[in-house]
Amino acid sequence: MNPTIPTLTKAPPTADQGAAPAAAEDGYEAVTGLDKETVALKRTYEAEVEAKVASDYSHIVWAYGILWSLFCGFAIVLLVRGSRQQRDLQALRRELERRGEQAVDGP
Amino acid sequence: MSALLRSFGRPGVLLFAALVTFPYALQRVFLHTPIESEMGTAQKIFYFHLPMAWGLMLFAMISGVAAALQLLRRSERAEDVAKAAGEVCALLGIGALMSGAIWGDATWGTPWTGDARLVTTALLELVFIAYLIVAKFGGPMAGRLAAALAVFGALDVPIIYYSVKIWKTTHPKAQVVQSLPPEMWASLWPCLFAILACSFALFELRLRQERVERRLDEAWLALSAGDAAPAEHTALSGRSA
Amino acid sequence: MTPSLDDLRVDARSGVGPPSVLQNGSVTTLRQTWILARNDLRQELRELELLITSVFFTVVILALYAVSFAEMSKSAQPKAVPGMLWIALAFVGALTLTRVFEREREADTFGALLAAPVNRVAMYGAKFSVTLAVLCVCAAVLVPGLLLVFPSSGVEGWSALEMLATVLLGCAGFAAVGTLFAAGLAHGGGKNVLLSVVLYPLTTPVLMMSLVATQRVLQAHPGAWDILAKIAAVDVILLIVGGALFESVLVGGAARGSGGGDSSTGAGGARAPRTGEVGPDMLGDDVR
Repeated sequence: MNPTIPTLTKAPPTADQGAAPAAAEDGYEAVTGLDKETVALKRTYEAEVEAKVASDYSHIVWAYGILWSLFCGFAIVLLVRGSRQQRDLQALRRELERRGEQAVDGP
Repeated sequence: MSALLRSFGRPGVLLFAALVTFPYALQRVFLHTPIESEMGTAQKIFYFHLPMAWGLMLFAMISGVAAALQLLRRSERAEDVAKAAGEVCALLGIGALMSGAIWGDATWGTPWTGDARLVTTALLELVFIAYLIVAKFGGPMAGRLAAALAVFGALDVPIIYYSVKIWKTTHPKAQVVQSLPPEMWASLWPCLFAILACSFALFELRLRQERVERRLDEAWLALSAGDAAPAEHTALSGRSA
Repeated sequence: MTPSLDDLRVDARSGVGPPSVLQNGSVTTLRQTWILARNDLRQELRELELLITSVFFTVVILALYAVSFAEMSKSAQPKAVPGMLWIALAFVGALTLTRVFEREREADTFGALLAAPVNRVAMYGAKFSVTLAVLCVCAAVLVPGLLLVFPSSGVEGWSALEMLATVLLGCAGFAAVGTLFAAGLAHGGGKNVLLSVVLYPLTTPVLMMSLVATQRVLQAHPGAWDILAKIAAVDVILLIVGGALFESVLVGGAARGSGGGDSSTGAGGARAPRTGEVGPDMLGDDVR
């Protein structure tokens, strides 16, 4: 990881710690919100989570894809084998019919 | 629709059921199941990995028991069952190992560890691949040798189950499954059903093909024997209607 | 396995035939096993063919190890040497098993023996014992050799008795599975290359446990006997299953009639009694 990006090794400072007392003196009221450091930390944290979730999802897609393509592959093998058997069966029937005709024509 | 289903028979119904259950299972897994706190989103692979692994053991058992019957009773029916179950077992084994490796890569950071459960599952898979190799290339005694192999393969199943307890291991222990929260169980059931229905459908299709193959062989042999031909002709031509 | 006919005749006189063996009890089976194994060993001691080839192969593997891993660090040796031991034994085992049954195949004595009034379990036991004996001789060369080449593989004061038990139990598990499949391949005229395909996946659990046991023995680990007991339990299961399947694997087809009648080929002997079945029922509901 890039060393310049701060990570959440310490607890993020809460927003009302630094700015609130100064606002009361000169009538200036600070917008309540997060200070820059906290925002940066939160963004880093979000990026980390996003990266983890994205990687997890790519893993999931791969895993599910492989599982179902295995099943489909096996089904295709079965189909091919089945059609070969169909052809074999047709050949058998033709052979039997041929012999039947011979038997009728013959004696 | 019902005519279509009937024309496909039981495997067709099972496949149809799997096809209907799968989208339901997917939406349950992704929309209605909490994300596991330790492993994160990647844990969702579990819902199809575990059914594959259970299916692997189930079909290994079926193949082993059928192979034992084949050897002890010389039953051809049992041989067909053992062979079909062996193929489905090898298929599920590849699925379980590959999905496991992908899941491991996401959560452990490595696709393969020397963990006992992984090694024994891989061994079981190797045994059933060897089973298929021997059944195909084993020469005149291939059927019986392969059957003996399947019996030993089935013996390996309890070793897999208990290997977690016997050896030091990083794989989730068997008790983890029992302690799943109810929402995860509720998502696991449809996944289990989809995978098993699909496997059983393929198993039955394969079984039928095995039987047809045997009968076609016998019919051709009877035909080449010559004198038996007329009797068969009447019988077989009746079928073509 | 050329048993002397006199020995077998003694058994035949005492009314021992394949069907009645079980009623006659395990004593006869043990005696037959002993007779058959003794004959095999006697012939082996006369020719020394099997022993010389196996031991020479062992020495070659040992030399290869010594050359390949000469630079191995001392810390790696305790982990690696047990692996070398069992890989070498697995290779020698496959070679031995092939050779043990090759002899039967060459002299075509297997069929004769199957027809003789000998219990099949005794045949299995005899071949198992011979294989185990040869493997133990090879291990007796291999273990000291490995310890000589890799002196840091064990700690001071490991027990030779435990090592002996480990080698015996590990080789017994290997031979229990191997005998069954080598016999099946030799008898059926199957390709020998299939023996390795079958043997290694099936025997790896036993070899793995033996490997762990060897590591523990060499480290004088207190849990060595614990795992040895587990190997012994697995050995007993493998021997029982191997013995029980031996007859059905070898004789299944022979009892059924003339050759090729086995269901595995999907053709042949099953044909004759079945011609009557060629009919609607035969191509029945499977053909759709």
